[in-house]
Amino acid sequence: MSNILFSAAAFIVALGALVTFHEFGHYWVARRLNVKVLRFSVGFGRPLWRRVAGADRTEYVIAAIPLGGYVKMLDEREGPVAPQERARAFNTQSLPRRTAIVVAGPLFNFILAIAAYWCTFVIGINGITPLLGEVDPQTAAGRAGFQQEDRIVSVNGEPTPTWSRVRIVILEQALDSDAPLLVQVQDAQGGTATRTLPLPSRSLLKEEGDFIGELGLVQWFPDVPPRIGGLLEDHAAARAGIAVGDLVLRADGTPINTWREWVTYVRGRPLQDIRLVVERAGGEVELQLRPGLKDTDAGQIGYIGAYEVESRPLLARMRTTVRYDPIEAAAQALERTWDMTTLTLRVLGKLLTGEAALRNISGPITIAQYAGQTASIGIDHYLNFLALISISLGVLNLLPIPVLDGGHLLYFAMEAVTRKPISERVQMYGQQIGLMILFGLMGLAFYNDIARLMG
Amino acid sequence: MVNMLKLRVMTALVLAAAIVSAILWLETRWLGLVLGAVILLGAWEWGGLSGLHKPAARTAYVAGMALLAAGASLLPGTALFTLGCVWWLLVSLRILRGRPPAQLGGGISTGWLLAGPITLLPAYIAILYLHGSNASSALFLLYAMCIVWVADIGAYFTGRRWGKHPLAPAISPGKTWEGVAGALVLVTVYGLLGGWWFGPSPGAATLLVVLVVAAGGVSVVGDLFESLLKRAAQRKDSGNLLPGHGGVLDRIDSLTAAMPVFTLGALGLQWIEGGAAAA
Repeated sequence: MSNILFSAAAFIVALGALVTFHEFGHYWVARRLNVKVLRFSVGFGRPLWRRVAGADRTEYVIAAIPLGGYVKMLDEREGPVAPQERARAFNTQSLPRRTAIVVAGPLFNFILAIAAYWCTFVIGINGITPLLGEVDPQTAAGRAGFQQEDRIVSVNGEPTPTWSRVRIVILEQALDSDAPLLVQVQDAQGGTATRTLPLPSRSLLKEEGDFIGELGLVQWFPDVPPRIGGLLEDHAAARAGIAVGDLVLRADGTPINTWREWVTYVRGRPLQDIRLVVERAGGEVELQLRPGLKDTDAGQIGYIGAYEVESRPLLARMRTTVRYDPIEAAAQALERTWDMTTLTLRVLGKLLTGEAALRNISGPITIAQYAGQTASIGIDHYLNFLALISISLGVLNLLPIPVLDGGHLLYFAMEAVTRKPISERVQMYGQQIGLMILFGLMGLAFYNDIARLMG
Repeated sequence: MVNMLKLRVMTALVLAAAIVSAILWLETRWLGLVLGAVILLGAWEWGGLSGLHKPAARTAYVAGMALLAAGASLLPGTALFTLGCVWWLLVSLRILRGRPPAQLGGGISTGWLLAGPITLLPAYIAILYLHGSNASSALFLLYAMCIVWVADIGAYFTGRRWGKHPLAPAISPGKTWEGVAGALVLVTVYGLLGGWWFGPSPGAATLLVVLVVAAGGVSVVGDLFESLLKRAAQRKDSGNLLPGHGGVLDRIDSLTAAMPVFTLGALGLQWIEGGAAAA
């Protein structure tokens, strides 16, 4: 439960910051262009806090529903405007000025993303070295000659210091073409080699889940003995009488040799009794264990609340920090924002053409889970997450759907062509249709999130 | 056993009378309070089925539902009902695939907890929306709500007489395709009656028939979705608040799916008839 609350809090903080910044973009440019702003609201619905300030008596509001916000400008279409103030109404502005005000919101999202990436690059982002575990010879990677303990240095010339970079670069390349990837690795002996990894097919994105794993690129993990290093209070393992220091020998008669085998065994048996033999103080002890059940992205798994500690020093050698000086960081941040923007657009395009499965659309619930996870790992990952969501928000808002900023831009483009404003009737229909598209998509996203959680 | 049946009939009559009079004589906001209470009882049961057993946790869940209901009532109707329609469309596909649900086995399911508001709230707001739209709409709302009842009767009798091919054996063994066909036939007749009574023009009347049939069809899915939850929780009834009937959810499950679909369609009809101004 506290987990859910933490995720929700991390999500609301992120969303609040992003929405405020987006609306601030509209607000700031409107003020620059001398358009009168009546209200700047963070959140929708009933105001919780309000302040009136400035020569224009602008109302600053924090409202109850934190899923968005708005800037209300003086506008003849929305209410009577005094003749002397007509020149300051939004609808009387020239087309380029209106466009500037509308574009400012999404633009500020991109600026925020650049700033967040810049921070992470200067602070240094922690990641995991892309070191390969056991490579299944049946997979694409196995056939391409990848070996255990190969470290991936670059993919098609793009440096990949961390696993997450490996993922993103492979995804980008896969979207571009079916051509095999040229993967440069450093093998266990320290020599470098370039391996040619063929991509299975365009269907990569149609599969749900870990496409990098499907290729056969799995993370290295040290093999340690199945010795209990610690227990969580009031979980199945502690209740069954397992003690710290116990070495798992057999489960239901099956010998268990490594911690990984033990984890796999438990995960596959939620709420099923396991007859367990452990070694304790030189003797064997028999115990009865019944794993609890845990909902995860991969469905429901067994869970006993025990962990090991022996792999920690071994894993430390896997951690890596990527850090740049401020100027290099700025260049990197710009490039990263550009890359992620085009990646988002391309994945959206694939969704529309049916080349990527609709199941890949995630909604607020999955995003919130992700917010919680990244916030608990550290500020660097949370900032990264913030940047990504900011980019998504910017891109989403630019889609030509009425109600969104992109919808206004669409109307403006039509106005530029026909040389007269779009009629109120068309705008009205447009708004209804826009709302339906938007909330239809939301229904889809909610369904995906929830179906994932239900298993 | 006879006593049980008597109890069942009595409860049904009292409930029906209460709901009908509430719809006919209460102002929309008061009806909102009454039905809000019903929805919150449903949320209490939904929380329990999804694995919340501690009263404090269930109360918190109900409170959360009340907050969301307040939030949902601020959304434009088209938006909320579209969301509901897409949700039920995807749920229908899930149910037709016939996969049995993952067992909760005493655990708490975040997925089912989150599904609660999306199942209950669009229907709640849809009912209030229909009720409040104009002076004669109380009758129209009653007509709409009776669709699920007509579908139920059609399914029950044809299913009992001709039922052979199971609809979703992993979820609800009693339901058959023949039952669904019977429901659709009876609902079509009911739709024709409605078209004749309410339809302002032959075109609108035809569309109304289509709408009634769609709502009748999806009502079966509403029923099955709640069965899916009960299956996952390994329970027979959603609760025991209603003597002889099980829980509140067991009574309103079909409505949860039918109402958002019907209302979005009705909005569309209004649009076609009256132009955008009416929306």
